[in-house]
Amino acid sequence: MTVSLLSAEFLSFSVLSVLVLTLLYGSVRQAAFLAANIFFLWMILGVEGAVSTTLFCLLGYGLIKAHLRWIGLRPVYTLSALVALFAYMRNYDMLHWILPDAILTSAFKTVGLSFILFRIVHVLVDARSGTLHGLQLATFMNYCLSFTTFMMGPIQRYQDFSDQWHGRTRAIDLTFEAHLDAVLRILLGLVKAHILAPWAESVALRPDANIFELSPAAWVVGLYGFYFFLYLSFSGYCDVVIGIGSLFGVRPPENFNMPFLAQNISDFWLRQHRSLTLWLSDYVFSPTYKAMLSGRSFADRPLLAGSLALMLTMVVSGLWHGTTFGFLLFGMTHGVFLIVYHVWDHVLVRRLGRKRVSQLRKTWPSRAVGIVLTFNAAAFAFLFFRLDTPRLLRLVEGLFGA
Amino acid sequence: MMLQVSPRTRVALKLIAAAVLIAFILLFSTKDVDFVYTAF
Repeated sequence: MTVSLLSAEFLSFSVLSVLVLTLLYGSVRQAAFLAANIFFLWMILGVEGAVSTTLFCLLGYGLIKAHLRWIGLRPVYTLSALVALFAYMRNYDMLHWILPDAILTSAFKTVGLSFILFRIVHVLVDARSGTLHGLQLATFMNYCLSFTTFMMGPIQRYQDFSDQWHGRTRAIDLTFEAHLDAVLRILLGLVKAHILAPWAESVALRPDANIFELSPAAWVVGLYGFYFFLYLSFSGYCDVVIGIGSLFGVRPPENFNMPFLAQNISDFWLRQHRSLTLWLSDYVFSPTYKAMLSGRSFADRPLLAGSLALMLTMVVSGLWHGTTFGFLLFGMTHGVFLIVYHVWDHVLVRRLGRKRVSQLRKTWPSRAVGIVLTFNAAAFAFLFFRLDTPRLLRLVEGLFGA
Repeated sequence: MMLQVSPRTRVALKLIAAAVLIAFILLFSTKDVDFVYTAF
């Protein structure tokens, strides 16, 4: 049996879960949530997928506990092993270049595994640094497998999830109007995902488009259509799960804030898939940047260190998004955009001063130019998200004359 | 400036909005969405 997101089955399952989880308390509620999550896994992935995904979470929990017990254990080794297992289970395209086909397998069904990996890394790093206390197996499993967020996020922090689940903070006010707001959020999400997104998809660039025969107008409509399709489907889904989560007591974090109004590419990533950006900033960019500045090679070259850390972060982002060559290109393209923006910002501040640049950015022509440039840059980068690998290779060959 | 309405009117308006959205979904929702992000 399979079930698709936002289908009648998913919504019926969600309504039933909300009712049950609202009526139960304590460990029975915890057990019921875990049972609901594993049942949902089985509906989505079947027996093998549910077992392999649950075992991956248990392995993550074991690694976190091992780190808390043996402080001398270096996270770089355990995390590398976990990432290697993740890459193997997801059967990355790139693995075919370095490993014999005989040992590669696509047997694992791994929907949602990338989100689970990021949750495990976050809990491991925070628990080891002492900013996360009182880790419990059942809460951890429900955190990783929560049916609202395990497939497509948003990436919630364990502390936030645990505080809401155990009632230390409230997901929603106990008023009729607050519950009505949550229902409205679900309905709005359904309109976005079920009515507006299919409309945008109907004009979006096709994955198998004959790219060398498209007119400039067809390119523009196709790329803009795909950008809006991605936004409407993903943010619509987020609206639905935020509404459902609010009703049973764990509200996932906000993930979108009108990305098409971003005034620069840095602003774009704080508006688009925001929970991912904050995760990448905390667990990839910041540690890399700090490590580089503490070394001799980059100590007096912060702009270069920042640029390299940005590129690494966006490559990780790209490869996390998907297993094919296009996602690597998607990440690298955004890495280049971010580096260009930060170098430009650095030059402007050196020439005009921080205060003058800040005033300049508040003027409407500057805002308008920023929004138009950012919108088009983001729409262009989604090209690598959309086209399949053979078409992308032909496009790269065409662009670079290879 | 935001329009000031009483709490009761605000809730009534939200209920009407919910009814409109439900009608909209029932009338125009024709197919399930092919989520690009589910592949992750």
